[in-house]
Amino acid sequence: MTHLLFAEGKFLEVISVNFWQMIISILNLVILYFILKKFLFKPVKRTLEKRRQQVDDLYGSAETAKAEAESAKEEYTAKLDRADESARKIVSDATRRANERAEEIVDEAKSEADRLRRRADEEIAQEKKKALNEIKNDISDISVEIAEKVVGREIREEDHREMIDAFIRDLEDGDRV
Amino acid sequence: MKTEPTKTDARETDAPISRRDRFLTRLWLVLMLLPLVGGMLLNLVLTPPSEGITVTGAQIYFTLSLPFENLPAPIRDLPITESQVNSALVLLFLFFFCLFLTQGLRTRGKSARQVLAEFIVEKVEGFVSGTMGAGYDGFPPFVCAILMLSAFSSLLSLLGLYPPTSDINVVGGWAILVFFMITRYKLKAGFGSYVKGFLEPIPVLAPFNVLSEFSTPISMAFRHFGNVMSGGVIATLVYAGLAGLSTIVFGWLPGFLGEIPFFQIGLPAVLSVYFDLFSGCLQAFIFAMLTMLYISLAAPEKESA
Repeated sequence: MTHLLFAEGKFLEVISVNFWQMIISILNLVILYFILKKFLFKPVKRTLEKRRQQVDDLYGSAETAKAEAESAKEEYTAKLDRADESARKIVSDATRRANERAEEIVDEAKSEADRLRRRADEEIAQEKKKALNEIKNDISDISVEIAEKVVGREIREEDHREMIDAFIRDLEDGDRV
Repeated sequence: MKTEPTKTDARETDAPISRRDRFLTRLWLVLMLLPLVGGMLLNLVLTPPSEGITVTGAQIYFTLSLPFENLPAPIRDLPITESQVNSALVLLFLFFFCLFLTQGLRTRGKSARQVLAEFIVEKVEGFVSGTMGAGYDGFPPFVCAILMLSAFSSLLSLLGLYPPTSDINVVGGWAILVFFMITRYKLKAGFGSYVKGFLEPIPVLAPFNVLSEFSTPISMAFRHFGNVMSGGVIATLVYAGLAGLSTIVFGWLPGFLGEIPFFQIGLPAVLSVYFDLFSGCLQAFIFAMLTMLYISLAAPEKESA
């Protein structure tokens, strides 16, 4: 098989220096430098930077969320404290009012009892008075009857009643004196 | 968070991979492998059968002549050889390799390709900052370029292609570029101190200092070139030797069986692991390392005790 196409079938010496080949080699290296810079390092570094930024952002938002949670917790604790306090206040108010009411009720009951007793006393006094009056009448009637019997004649009741009443009044006065 | 809707922008979330991404990834993969396959086909078509053991340089495909008759021949003639063609193939391969790796980068839920891309970038950046110190932000892509171009050029021999790094012109060009960079960093301190640097420690040593200055690129180039080329030479010798051994041991077998070089199966693969894989990557690493060391030593103001 012979060499094909445009190959000359010639070889370089093992060590042969050629100016243009060195220039080409330098250019190759420079080209590869730009290729790697543009197509490998730049995108990868941008991705790494972006990832770092995202992580930073995540940390930042986590911190914010934590701070928010802390403040919310404080707020709720304060609210709970306030609720406790108001509940205590409500209970104590209710207790106080209940005590007051109880005292009121007791006072009312006492005054009612007093009132009832006073009325009872008044009634008793009236009854007594009535009874005394009746007794007085009875005594005068009986005295008149006795006197009739004693005198043996009919004494005009109207004539003597005044006299007897005066007698009884005298008696009462005498009692008093 | 604000995002600029650029074309190669990183995706914000771990949304499912779009069809476009998947298509492009496959396209880059195919385009990445195409230069290698094409190179192998080209090699198959263009390489004449070798007779006996020959150690040569790169094959000359054709020679361009610049239209300047009065120029001396070495400058007028531009031979296009396997080195140039294979370097171009490596460049193409690496270009599509980069596109393949960085297609559809995302900040969350990264693919294996992205892991590799980030690994390369971060390793090279750590490598550069670890060797040169801070303040060389533009260097990682350059060091990565040296590493990749050198390593993949050497690894071409795994495919049976001529490794461009075994051409002194190729590594010589890189070394010259590095030499210019070293000199530029030395000149940053001022031309006066650059010249004064040659007179130290005593002015008598100035010629030797100049020599050592120029020996830097030469030693870098020949170290790399010599390692890769000698690997190829040894592989050729071992291959030929094994063919001869096969003929001696199995020559009595009837028919074409006697012509099969049985000993060529196996051992060359083991040698290839050393000379192509290990040595190629090692030389790439050494070249990049020396580049960084020389440049960071050349920049006096960046130096810290």
